[in-house]
Amino acid sequence: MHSLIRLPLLAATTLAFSSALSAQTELGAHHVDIGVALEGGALVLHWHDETADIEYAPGDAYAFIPLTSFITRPIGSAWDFTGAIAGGTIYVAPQDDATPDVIFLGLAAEEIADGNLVGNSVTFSLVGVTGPGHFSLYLTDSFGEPVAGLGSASGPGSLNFITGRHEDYNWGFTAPGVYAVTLTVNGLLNDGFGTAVSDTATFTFAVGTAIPEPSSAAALAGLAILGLSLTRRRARA
Amino acid sequence: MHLLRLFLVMPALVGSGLVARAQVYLTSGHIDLNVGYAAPAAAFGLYAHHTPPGASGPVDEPIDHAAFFVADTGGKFPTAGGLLPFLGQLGQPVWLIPQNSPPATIPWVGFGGYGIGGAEGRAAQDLSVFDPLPALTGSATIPAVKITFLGFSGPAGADFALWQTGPTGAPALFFSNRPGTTAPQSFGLREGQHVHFNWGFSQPGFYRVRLRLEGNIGGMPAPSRDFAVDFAISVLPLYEQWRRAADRFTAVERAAAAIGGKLADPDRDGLPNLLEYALGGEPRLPDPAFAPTLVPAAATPTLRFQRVADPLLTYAVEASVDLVAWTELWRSTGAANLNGPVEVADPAPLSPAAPRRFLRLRVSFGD
Repeated sequence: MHSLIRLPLLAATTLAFSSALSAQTELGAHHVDIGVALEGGALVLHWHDETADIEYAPGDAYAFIPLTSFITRPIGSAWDFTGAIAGGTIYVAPQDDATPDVIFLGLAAEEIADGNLVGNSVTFSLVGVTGPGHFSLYLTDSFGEPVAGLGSASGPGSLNFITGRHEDYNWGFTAPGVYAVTLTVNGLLNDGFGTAVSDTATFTFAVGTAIPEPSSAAALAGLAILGLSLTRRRARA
Repeated sequence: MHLLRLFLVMPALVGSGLVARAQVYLTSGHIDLNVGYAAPAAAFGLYAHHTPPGASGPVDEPIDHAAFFVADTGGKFPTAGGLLPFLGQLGQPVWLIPQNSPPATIPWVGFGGYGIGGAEGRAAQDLSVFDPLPALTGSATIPAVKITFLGFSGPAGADFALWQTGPTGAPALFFSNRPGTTAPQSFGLREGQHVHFNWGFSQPGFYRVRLRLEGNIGGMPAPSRDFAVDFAISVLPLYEQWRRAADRFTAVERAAAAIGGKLADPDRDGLPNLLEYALGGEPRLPDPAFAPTLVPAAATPTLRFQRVADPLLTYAVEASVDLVAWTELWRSTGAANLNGPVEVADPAPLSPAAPRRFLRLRVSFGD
């Protein structure tokens, strides 16, 4: 069963790498997580629309952030990780869900129960970003100070994450356009051997612009792959 | 000649409808204060929505049966007071339940508009009957309820606040006891919404935060009863420490209202657990002698009982001639509560014209 599940996800991921045009379902105005599950001994990255309780393979959906959702970068070097200049614009999916028509987006490992992974933790790493500007994932703490997570301006980075938890972040982009954000998640199975497991996937973000319809050829390829793949729909635990 | 009669009424637990509160202290994990609404009964519910250890899925614990403990480890910020203008004094400690990245050693308390038994928009008794509240939530289409902060009780001089930070870090204050803030003392919760806030407390101790829920159904207001959410900051209340000490109750028993609850009487000696505590008894050892007694040969009717030095307890001795109308003779709470015996005399003389007097002791907790 493991290979039957993984193969179509890998195929979908490959298509996403080849072209962001494969992303079909727009995720906006919902609470959504980029989640990691442990299925058949393998880590599996995916979108999880928490509001609708629907999961999508990374290449089957994209996050939309309207141009109306932006901040002006505060002054101070603590904000340099965003890649924006002080006073510059950062388009953002905010951590506080203050605007109901903007996606409320987090990272999640809550589908993985304690005891399955060594240290009950996984590590998210930013592998690459393509797009017209910089990408950053960050928090502001209880006192308003920025806490950098991952960002293209600061180069490859990683984020340790406890299983069983989820966290809502600010997802910032410094220019309108389509971004492909590639993440890797790593963990060690608690199988007595510490077997390393990982998954890599590319997630698409559309900032102020709709994802164009795929070309005919790409659509046909997508249909062929979808015929093999599983749309991830699962009831939330 | 008439026989003068004096009656001693068994002690009573009273607490403004809150008598059975806080069976379980939640000390870690992700918990949402979840709102449900039973339309047929027009009744709101507020629940601690969480997944207990070993459980297969989340449960909705009525908030009257749950409380939250914020330990120093993870919850205390030793010199952070005053960094936010609405919380604490400059350089003094504050205790936080953060909006983001909570440590595993404290409960992570958010809000959910899930309805009973659900998660994020999928539930029975959900909020779908309510009108949207666009002025509060920004949505003209999604049903919503208003959550209003009515106030709190806590340590003298303490601050309490609820706020969020967003992508710029600027705090958006929702609840605050500080005069002069712009806190609206309310916020809107959308159907199915899941959201976290920063909870701030400026002193160790026991806090009871009072909330009211309200929505509109077809334009008509539908308010809830008042709810209370209890927090123990830095130290567990003495009563909870007592329950956990000397093998009185296991964790499972503490969570079982019929055994470890304030109104339970597991040793069947007529004294429920809270009275066992308040009168110096033991909950698993039948000892009815700890019940209040009448002082023999006293000049006037006099009630004697043991008191414990717990400022959250309120003792009140009341008298009645008909068991209907009661007059308070004496009250003790806060710092006035000291360890040791207490005798309270009833000043009203018994006479042939008033041959009967009833005395009772009322004990309440945290109100």
